[in-house]
Amino acid sequence: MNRRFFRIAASLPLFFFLILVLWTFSMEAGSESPGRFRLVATWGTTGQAPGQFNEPMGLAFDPQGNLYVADTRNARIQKLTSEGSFLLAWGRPGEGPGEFSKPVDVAVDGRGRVYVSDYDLDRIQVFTSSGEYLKQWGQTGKAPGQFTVASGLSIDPKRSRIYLAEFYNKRVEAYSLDGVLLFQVGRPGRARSGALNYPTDVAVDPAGQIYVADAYNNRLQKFTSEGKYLDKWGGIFGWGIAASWQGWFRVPSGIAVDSAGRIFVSDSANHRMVALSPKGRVLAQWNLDPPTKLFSPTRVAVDAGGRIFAADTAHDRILVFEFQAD
Amino acid sequence: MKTITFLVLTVMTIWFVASAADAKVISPSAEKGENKVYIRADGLACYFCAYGLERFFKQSGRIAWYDMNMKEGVVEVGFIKGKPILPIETINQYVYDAGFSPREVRAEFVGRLTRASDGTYRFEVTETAQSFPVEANAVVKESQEILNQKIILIAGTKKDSTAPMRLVPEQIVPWRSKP
Repeated sequence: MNRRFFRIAASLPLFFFLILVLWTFSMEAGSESPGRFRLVATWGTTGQAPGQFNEPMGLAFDPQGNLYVADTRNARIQKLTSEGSFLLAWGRPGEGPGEFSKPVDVAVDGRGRVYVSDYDLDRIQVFTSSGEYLKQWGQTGKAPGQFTVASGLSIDPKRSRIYLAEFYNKRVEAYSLDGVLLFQVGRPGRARSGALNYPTDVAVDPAGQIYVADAYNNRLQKFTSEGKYLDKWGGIFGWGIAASWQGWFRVPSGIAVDSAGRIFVSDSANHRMVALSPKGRVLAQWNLDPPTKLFSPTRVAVDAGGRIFAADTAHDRILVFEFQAD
Repeated sequence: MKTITFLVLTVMTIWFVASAADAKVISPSAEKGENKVYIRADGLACYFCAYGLERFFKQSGRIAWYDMNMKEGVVEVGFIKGKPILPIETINQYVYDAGFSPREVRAEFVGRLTRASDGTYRFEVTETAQSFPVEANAVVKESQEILNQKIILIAGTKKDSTAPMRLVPEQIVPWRSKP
């Protein structure tokens, strides 16, 4: 009797696991994507010449629609027209003002000033739209206002704030555009709501709500404009477990929100782009067909016209998509 | 029951197999030395992690180049000519500090294998004059004819249970005839 009871009890977790797997497959099979990505252009090749990239990552648009690219391994920022033509580049390897070690993200405020986060140098530098150095802030450390790997940037134009995802400090910090620390969003941790595990990117929707690519919790999290936790998606019910099925993520490293509040995610280790509704419902996903590792999106941005741009870092190019809602 | 367990384990294995992106070689301007180390780590799945490991190695001030292959979950680092090679404990600590679990380290060092009167062996790194004991395994014992000559020592280790990592000679070849 006891032995039989033990066998039944021992098999229960397996039973529930199988139910979970079957439920997931049925959800996948029954889901219909109410939108789709359409690849419309690919910009850039490998190299150091103007318009070429070496591990491009951060992407941002200025009010005129020009695209800024953090050309990470080339230690520079490139500015392109909205159609991909090269305009200018600035920066060189180094630690002085206007120099970069690994620029990994870029953001542009309403006045056209360009903010660049540097992974190795733990600082944010600010430039004019023509690349003239203005100022910087940040230093290495774990205390509030210090960085251990400055990663994703996003600007809330209405509140004149800039948010920084800090990879190793496992938090997001909100600053004024002058670099004054305002508050912290999230706290280091796994699985629990509001806990961040190596966040890589941050985005702001039109209402000022904050979205975090909580990369190694394999999920996205949503906070109010004051940093209070609201919601989480992915990570298998938010538990932080990586998965490849629709609606779940494996190291989502880039996030952007369009004017309609739709959320675009570079689900990097799944090698795909994902579009979500403002409530987190999957609208569409895109990867190469058949899925291969020839697409490795790290960052994503949306322009004023609704086009989606993904930095395909491993292949030194930027992919341009249109999103069509059905 | 065994069939169910097998199926579940198979599904879980497929589920958790890491996938990662391609990467490329980088070559900073420092003069490259002859010594290099290859590291395989769990969790090396995106550029942000790979850059983290690179950052630790760069901060050591001893690394000339760093090559990452996220598809395979490996990085390879080359030491600056004349700079001391990093102890394996330090390399492991970098891997842990960067957020990964080290699984395998393989070193390729250029130097001389010597034998002391008590029968123990040491390896002297040519570029740095560092010296460390070498396990007298079969590979070492079969290399008596090239003792005190310039050679390439290829040593590797894998993480097994709780035992600390240590480098074990796997291959010894005359210098300039790399395998």
